[in-house]
Amino acid sequence: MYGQTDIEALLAEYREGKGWGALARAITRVENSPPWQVELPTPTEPVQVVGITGPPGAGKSTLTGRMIDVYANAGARVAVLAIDPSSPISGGAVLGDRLRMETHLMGREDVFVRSLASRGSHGAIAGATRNVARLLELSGAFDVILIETVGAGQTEVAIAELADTIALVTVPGLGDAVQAIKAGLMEVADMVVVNMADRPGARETVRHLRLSMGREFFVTTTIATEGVGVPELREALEERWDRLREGDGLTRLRARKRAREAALVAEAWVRSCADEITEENLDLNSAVKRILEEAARRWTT
Amino acid sequence: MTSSTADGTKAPPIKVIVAKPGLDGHDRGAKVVARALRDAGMEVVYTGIYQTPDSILRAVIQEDAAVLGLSSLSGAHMEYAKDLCKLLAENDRTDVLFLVGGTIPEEDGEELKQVGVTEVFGPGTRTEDIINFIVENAPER
Repeated sequence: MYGQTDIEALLAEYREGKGWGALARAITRVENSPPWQVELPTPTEPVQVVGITGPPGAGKSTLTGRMIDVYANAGARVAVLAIDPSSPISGGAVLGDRLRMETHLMGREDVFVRSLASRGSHGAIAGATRNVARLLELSGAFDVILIETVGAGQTEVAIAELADTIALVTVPGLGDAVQAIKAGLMEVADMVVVNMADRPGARETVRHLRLSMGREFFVTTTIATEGVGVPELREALEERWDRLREGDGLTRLRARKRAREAALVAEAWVRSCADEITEENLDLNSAVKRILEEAARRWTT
Repeated sequence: MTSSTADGTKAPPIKVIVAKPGLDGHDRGAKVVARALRDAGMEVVYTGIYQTPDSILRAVIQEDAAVLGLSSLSGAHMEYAKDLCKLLAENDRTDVLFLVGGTIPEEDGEELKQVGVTEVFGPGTRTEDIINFIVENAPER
């Protein structure tokens, strides 16, 4: 359990020029604290948080690695949060995303990559992801924050609650699978990237997507292994960010996401309280009432 | 086994970097160890083959790892271990548990420890021994 001041002191250390170590330790503190114990101030200078999501094997890590290149070559300081699943049995994890990004980190002192294990949270992100992203934003060290989710299917849409922009990565030839993700992930996506565009069926996939999502919707193609199409993807992300920052678009977007984030934290809080209220033999409605009352009472104390 | 819960009552998982330095493509051992540590409830970042001391140090710092496991089957373990011990010290990371495994001749074990390696796991080591050593000695994060 860590105090607020601990995290702030580490951030201050980082800002004093003590290097990535202090920032990395602050992330560990946030990662190891339940979300309701971490209250970070709202960043004054917002940084675009990009969620990169899509089915397993679509090339998210490889694409993220290439995006590091493209952003860094354009002079941007890049942070990457790469999320991999924790084993539901042991609680452990093998985090392999860094492996695919390693070659893009050589000699780049202002790129920061952190792997996070999902630690039992659902929705293809880790429970602490939002707070870790906010911490990166607060550090003032980055111009863009890329979050690569666990391989996601239809319903893993939690990334939408914390990223400003969702880029959904898919591949040609998934056919019905494209239909399948339409209902869930597709609804929260701000743009779709058809990766492995040198594979047969790429053009059809793009056409299908344009038909179902409408002509205004941004669909682009990449060959992540070769870096093809990645500069265009960055341009689209930058354009979206500029649009969001005009007027109150970003403020409204973030307020909406903040409300849903609060709902998620509340849910986790109620669950943590509920785990301790099991001793009584109540009927269902009374048990629910009891849990909610207890959760509210504990929250205020 | 360590695991993290929503209310944070249990100790968080121990974070481990498993790295293979230099021109040494034999990574089966490293992968077996990575999987065993995962099954023991640890969070293992596997950096892959052909890593340099700088890239390994970067991973240790950015991931805020408590443990660094270096797997070497090329015979170059001494050089890499010396470089990494120096880098860890320069970057205020001497508390990181630095383990070296692989084809390490017994006579090299002492010298590795003298340059700053915490423990050496040579041929024939059981994964349980590595797990127990980490659980008992890993620094808190």
